[in-house]
Amino acid sequence: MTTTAPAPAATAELPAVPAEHQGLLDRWSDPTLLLVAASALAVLGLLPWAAKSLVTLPLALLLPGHALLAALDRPDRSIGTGGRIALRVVLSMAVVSLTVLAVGSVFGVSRASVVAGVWLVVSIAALAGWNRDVPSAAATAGPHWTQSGVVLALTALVGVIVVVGALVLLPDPLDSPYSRISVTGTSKTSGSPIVVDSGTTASVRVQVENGTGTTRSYRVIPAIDGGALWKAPKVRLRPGETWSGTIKGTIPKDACMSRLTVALASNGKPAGVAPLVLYIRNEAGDACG
Amino acid sequence: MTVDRGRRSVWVGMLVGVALVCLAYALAGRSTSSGEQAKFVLLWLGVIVFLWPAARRLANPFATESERLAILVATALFTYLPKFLRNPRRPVFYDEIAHWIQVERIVDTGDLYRANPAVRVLPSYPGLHTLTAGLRELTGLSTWQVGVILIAVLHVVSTIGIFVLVRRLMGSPVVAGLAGLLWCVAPGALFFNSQYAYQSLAIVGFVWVVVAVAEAQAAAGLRRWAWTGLAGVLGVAVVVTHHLTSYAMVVLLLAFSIAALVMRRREPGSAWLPPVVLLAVSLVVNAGWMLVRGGSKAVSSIVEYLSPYPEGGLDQLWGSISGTGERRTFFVRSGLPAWEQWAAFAAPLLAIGLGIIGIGLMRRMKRRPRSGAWALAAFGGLYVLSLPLILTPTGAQGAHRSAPFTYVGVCLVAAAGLAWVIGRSAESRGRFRSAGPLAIAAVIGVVVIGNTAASVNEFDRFPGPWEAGADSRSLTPELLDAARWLRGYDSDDRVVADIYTGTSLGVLGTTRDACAVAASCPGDLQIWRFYDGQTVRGADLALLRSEGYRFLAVDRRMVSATPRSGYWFNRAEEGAFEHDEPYPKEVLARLESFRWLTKVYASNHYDIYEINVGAASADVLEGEPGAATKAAVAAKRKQRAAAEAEAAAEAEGKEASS
Repeated sequence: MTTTAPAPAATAELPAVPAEHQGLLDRWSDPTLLLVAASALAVLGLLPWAAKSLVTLPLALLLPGHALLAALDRPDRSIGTGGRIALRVVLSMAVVSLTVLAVGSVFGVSRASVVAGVWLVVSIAALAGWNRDVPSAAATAGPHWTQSGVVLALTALVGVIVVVGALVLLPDPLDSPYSRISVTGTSKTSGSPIVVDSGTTASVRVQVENGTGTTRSYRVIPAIDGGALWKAPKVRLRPGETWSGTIKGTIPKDACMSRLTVALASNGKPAGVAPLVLYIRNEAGDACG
Repeated sequence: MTVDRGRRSVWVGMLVGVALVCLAYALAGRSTSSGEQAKFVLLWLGVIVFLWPAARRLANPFATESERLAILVATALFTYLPKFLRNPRRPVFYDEIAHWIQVERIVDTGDLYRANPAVRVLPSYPGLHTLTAGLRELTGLSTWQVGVILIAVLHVVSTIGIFVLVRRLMGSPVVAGLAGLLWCVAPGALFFNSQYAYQSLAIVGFVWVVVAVAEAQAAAGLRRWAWTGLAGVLGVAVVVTHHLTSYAMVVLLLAFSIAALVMRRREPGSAWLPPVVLLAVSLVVNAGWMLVRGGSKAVSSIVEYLSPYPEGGLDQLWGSISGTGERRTFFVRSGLPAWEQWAAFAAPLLAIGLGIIGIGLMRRMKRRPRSGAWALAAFGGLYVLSLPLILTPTGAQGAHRSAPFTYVGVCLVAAAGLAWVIGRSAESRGRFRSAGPLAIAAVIGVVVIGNTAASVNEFDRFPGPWEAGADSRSLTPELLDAARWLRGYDSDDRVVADIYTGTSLGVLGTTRDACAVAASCPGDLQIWRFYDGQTVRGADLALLRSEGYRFLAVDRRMVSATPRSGYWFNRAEEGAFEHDEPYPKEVLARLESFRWLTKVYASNHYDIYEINVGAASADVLEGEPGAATKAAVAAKRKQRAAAEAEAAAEAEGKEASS
């Protein structure tokens, strides 16, 4: 690994290509630096903190492509800095995608396999470019802010403000009020029909949800065909709140299969929700033969 | 002084444009009805307020490269803004939901090739999913957060790619800058390619493969092969990411190879080698990937998936030419204002006009463009050839799908034409000098409005209330609640439902991998029979049992609305595109009388039944429970036919009397 200015011979063989771009991207192609960056990405990648994304996201979107280009002796010196950064991003995406495809096919996709795969690929690329020439600090221009760069940074700031503003201020366009009644608990898991093994009492667990955005009173009204009235529980729910409870009552003795409807009323009126329709199978007596 | 003013107007325009676009979306989000004009006007005013000064500045030969790039980066981010504001919090488009769930399941299970519950070819193209899963693991962000950031970054890097490519091929920073701007407003750029979906990633790889080929042709020695190798890496990533993009890449590499071979005397140093080598490599990799993903089965699956568009389109095109076939009716129930619809017709014509001027200029240029420029121009010609397909219902899909690729070529030639027009207007005196800038604004406006209107209707473009037959407006909190509740079963059983309800229930509410939603892969099941009042036959119930269906969901608004898309379930359903009346109320109410259905969930708009064919006694299956409803439907049909016959007779009578 030596640090020298680009060899004149290398540029002499490219008469059609405009002046080469040399800058920080070239200076930062130092293999040792690449190995350190790969290790930093790997260590941070394994940490559980969400804040790590501020460092790991830009690293993941630049480092793999940058290392690959460094290994190939930076052929992109023929294009401008903006193009070179974009190329690094596109190549990084391709490298990450193909790396996860390769390790995922063999070991499955997990944090450890992804981190190890990306670290390995970047490290191999860094080692492959070990003997490449890297320009010294003196041979490359330092970073400088152009007027456009400042404007672009301000544009990025506007972008961040818009994103945060949109998420905080824009209404969720999908909001629409609703109420819901459903079976829950064992009545949900044991499936249909509800089987009564002994006695003449059946019970069903139901759940009511208030998705209307205002506090509401609900009454759950069960009705069984050809049977006695069941008790109708009343509940008061705040917005987003749910209630789960059991409704029970007697079933007709001589019917094998009885139909139970469970309607929902809200504030003394129908809640606009169609009733649940459940079936109860009486296996306690002789009704089902 | 003038230079500074031009520069300032770009950034002031951007701030005003961002504010107007945000306002348009805030209005749309609060509106309770469709078709309001204000949001359209504000959106396009905002877009043009920025793009117009940006185009003028990019056409200025004295702008520096860093300024051009800054403008292009801002334009790329700006043109992503509408899609971002459309659904910033969660995926709502069909494809987005399918890709999102694929990544979620890959991360949960570690299995890369899990079948997808909504799109069956998707597991064969895991490039986007591996990238997102990788970034998710490295950053700790959620799938959707990674997706949103990815798409924004992809917009920027593809625009810079077009700039670098055109700069290399044409040697003009002005043309390159304008090409980048046109790319930002290309067909599908604002919405279709801004979705979190595989094409949005693959098309960027496609652009950079072309950049790498052009750079390889311009370079020499080892550097040429380094560029070729980079193009190869990008090309492999494209192949494993998206089918159509990988085929478009093969076609473009073929065009580059032919152009380079034809012009090999003008471009010495074996400039033809990189595209020819890459063409061969891309063919081998494409074939190899097909083989890895299942050989002939994978081939037939992809052919089955893609072939209806060109085949059906060409058939219908021939039919409409010969007067025997189907013709497409444009913008039916799209909700778009008339001026947007006119722009959709004018935009391709303007692009072609500018392209013709551009080609004329390319032929007269002192420093001849590279062979790649002619290859791209020829590739852009495919855009023109695909336009007639837009006249047909099936071909239109194919034309819209291919346009984002072929527009790379259109960008190059149209940018050359646009640069000439702007240059002429700046040089001229008198009336044309003052009218010139307005004409440029009109051209930019028509192109961006038309390219967007041609592929995105009101409902996909703006947030708003639920709409029948609009997948992007179907995922309401109510449906999300239903899906969450269904998820409580932890079941991998299938769901019978209309496609708009079923996608969310099947994808989010079940653990099933493949074909969770009946409407997307119904097999022999005639889903509509359960909903439109026809007799439910024993064979239908047998299919429900044998094909693993456990839930049947109903959107009760089926009795008060007709689908904007023309179908409730899929294009093959009985009565598709003929739903001129909602289903009668009784047909959904009858479901409550079927004892093989237990209604276990009910909300204001959704009912979910548990199917239990086995538990129902045999007598339940007899007696055609839908007979009464069937009679009602038949009576309505008869009534409608009589009314139509009467209207036709009346029209004939009028004609005869005149």
